[in-house]
Amino acid sequence: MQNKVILLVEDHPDDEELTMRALKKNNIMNEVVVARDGVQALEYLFGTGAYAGRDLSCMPQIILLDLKLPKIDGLEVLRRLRADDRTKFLPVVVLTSSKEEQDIVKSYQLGANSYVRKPVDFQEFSGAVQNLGLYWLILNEPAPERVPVG
Amino acid sequence: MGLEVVHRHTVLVLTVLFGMCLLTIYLHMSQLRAQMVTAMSLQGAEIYTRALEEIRQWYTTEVVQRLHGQGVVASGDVAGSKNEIPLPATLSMDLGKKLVAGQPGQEIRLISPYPFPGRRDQGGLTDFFQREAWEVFQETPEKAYFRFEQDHGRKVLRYATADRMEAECVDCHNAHPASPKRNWQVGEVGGFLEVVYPVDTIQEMAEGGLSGAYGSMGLLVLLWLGGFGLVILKLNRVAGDLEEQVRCRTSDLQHANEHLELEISERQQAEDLLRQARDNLEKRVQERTSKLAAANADLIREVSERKRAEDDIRKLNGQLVQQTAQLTASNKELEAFSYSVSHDLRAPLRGIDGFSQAVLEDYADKLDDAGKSYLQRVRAASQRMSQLIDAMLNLARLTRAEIRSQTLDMSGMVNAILDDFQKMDPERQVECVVAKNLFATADPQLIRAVLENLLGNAWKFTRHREHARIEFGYEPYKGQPAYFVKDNGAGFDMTYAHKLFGAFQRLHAYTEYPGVGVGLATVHRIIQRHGGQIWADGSVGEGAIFHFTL
Repeated sequence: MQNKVILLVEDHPDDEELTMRALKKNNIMNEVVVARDGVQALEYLFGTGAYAGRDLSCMPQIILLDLKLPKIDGLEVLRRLRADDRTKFLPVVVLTSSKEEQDIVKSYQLGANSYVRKPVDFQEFSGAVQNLGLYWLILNEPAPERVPVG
Repeated sequence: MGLEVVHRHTVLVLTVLFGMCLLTIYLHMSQLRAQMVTAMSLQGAEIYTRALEEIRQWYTTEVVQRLHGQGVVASGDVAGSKNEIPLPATLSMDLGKKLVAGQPGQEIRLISPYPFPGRRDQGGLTDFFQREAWEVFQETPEKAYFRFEQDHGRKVLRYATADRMEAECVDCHNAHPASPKRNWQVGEVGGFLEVVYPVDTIQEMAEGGLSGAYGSMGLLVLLWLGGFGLVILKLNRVAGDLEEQVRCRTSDLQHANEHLELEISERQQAEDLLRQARDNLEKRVQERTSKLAAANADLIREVSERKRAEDDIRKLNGQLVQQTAQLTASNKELEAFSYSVSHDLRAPLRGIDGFSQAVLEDYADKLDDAGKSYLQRVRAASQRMSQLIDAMLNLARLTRAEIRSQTLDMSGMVNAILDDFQKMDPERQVECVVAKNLFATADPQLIRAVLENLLGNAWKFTRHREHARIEFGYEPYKGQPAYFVKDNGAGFDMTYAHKLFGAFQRLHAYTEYPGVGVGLATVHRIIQRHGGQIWADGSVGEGAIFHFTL
């Protein structure tokens, strides 16, 4: 379980802190890689920029993706990683403040696996994080790392 | 003209001509007869006269002259002495008497203005004829003088010839003792011989001769008349035939004529009708034309007005397009605004709430109860603000949402909502009266929001009622159905009725009836977007009733 990395794409430090706290409170001890904008997220995923030379065989078990991000927004990140064979089957949970219908629809259209709205109430938020960890890190069986092409 | 008259009255003309011929012949014959009578009587008188003159001449020269030498004297009467012989005049007279004896009316007389005394009673100029004859002979003794006269009812010729003195006569007369005149010259007219000759016998003779001619003429006339009559008859017959034919033809012609006249009159009628029709047509055409012209003028005016209106519309449209663009832009801005509101306003709230919780959890031992309570209040406030934000976003979304109308079972929807309320709040006892089979045409999602809000309010504001009652039904309002939600809850003061439908307006304390104050604003917005109306009535403590139309 230790080697199952969680990629948290979140620009807001408060939300980052609260998410980390919720994970910790729910005893989710996986390594959490935080990308603070869309560019960082893509660099991590494709081993470029600051993450050049990263071992790409190690892909995150789950990506918690905020939509409203600096530089490249969450939907664009989603579109690009779904367009790449290396990342197209990675589980992506959109974790955002927005309850806008079009955001939800767009996310699913681009291949999001789940859409969770961050509750204001921390206790509710904590509950949601616990459920996500339980489901995506334990129950869900990810796609094989090497996906035969064609 | 004249020829025409002749052609037309041939018979009459012929008759007149024939009559004129007859008359001419008759007149000519009468004249001939008169001339013949005159000539014959003159001839008779002349014969007498010449005979007597010849005899007297012969007597004078052969008898009286010879005897004179022998002593025999011619004197007076025959019944004188032995040596006396009658005078030549006496011989003439006596012979004349003898000649005319037995011839009634005939007389032969020797007349002289100087008679011998013995014949004074016989001689002398006794009447007008004799005096006139005497005077004529003084001038022209060589010509006989005669005249026709009426004598005792008979027409007679009195014929006188002058008796001129011969040499022998003058000797004797100038010498004779009894001679009344003794200065006779040779050639002097001594007297004249008058023969009275009745004409009637000659006239009778002439008429006898002429009567044959008259008879012939009469016969001719009869024959002519007969022939003429036959010709006329024939002509009449021919004329009758011709007339019959002419009559037939005339009647045929008349028939034809009548037929023609009929036809002509029919044609004329037809022509009149045609003319009338044409006139009518022309009139109507003119009327139509004028109407059309008027309509055309109207049309032109209308067209120009329309053009102007179109121009106006185009201008307005341009403005509208501009405004729409502006509106779209502002809508987009609004959307961006709501997006950032939902995203950015909530993030700090989450921080406030989350970190308050973190303090409460991590530093509970360092906080007293008041501190903990304040942190709890911070959390409650942030959560309420989150609700407000959600409500505001909802209102904004409803304002923009597209309306998809369909037939709705209003009664069913009301029942379902009330059932949900009952499940969420099982301890409440509310009498729900819902009219059956109410349908409407509207957007189901939006109307559900309306009903949830109105029924939710009713449910909320009757919570302190012992016998809560909520009613849903409809009433006719201005020809359309007005639905209503009625409750017997807290009600409201009509003074503030105008504030009911404003966003974030509240008429009750939050602690008594919690709520964010956008429910009725949302309802109002949805009803408006459906083209309907909503209004509320109520009084404090008695309940409220909300009517709406769609």
